[in-house]
Amino acid sequence: MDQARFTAFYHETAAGLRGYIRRVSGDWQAADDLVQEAYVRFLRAHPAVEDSAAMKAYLYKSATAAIYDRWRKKRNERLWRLNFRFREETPPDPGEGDVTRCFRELKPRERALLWLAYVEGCAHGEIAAALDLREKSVKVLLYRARRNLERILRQNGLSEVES
Amino acid sequence: MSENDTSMWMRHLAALSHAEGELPDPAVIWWQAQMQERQVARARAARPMAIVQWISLVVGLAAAVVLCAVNWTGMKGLLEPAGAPLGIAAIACVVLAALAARFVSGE
Repeated sequence: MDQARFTAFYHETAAGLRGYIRRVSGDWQAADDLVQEAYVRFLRAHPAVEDSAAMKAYLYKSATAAIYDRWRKKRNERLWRLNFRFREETPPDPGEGDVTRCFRELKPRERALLWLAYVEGCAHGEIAAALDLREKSVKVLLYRARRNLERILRQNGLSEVES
Repeated sequence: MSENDTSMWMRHLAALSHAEGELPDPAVIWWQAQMQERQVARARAARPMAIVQWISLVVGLAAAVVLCAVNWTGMKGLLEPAGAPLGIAAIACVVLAALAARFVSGE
């Protein structure tokens, strides 16, 4: 992949990827670092340029791996400081709305699944590739994620979309 | 919650997520990836040299031990008149040589 092709691909995908990272990691401050990390990993894997769907799936896979690696690193740092009360995310921003708060209550993988399916419009095969899952499992996991989201929204009195 | 409701809700969430903040420069990311690639290539190229350095260190030390063992009687006769200070100096030389070899192989 040459630089011009990469720049075009970047402009096509970066905003969506940052949204994904922000929502899945729950860490808005680290999102830009994670975006960079994801693209660097993506470039170093020398993806096949012909298939843009596969390229996108690989990009999201890189981003997901970068998020998990960051959590792992944070957890190890906390263990070294003998702070065993581990939580994999940063505390929520005080100004965040109900929609954001409800989404954060889902498990990270559920957030990733819902985002890829309903925001990025990925097919089950692409989601499976991005999240290292079996294609057959995606349908079931998506269904569970939807049910959990519904439960959380109901518990928070948010059955309708609001900010 | 139907598929359509979920889709609508997620799109609303996405609209809230895309706002504000400049994205990182793609040129910087490209450069960063190239730099990492070069570093990895350099490390890969230097690896056989590091292995050879370690092998030469181990072979050298083993040869020194064998030579000492074979010529022990002669060495003993040579060292005995000088006594303990020469023995300590010899041990210090061995330790220093090992440290120097470690330093060189670590470069």
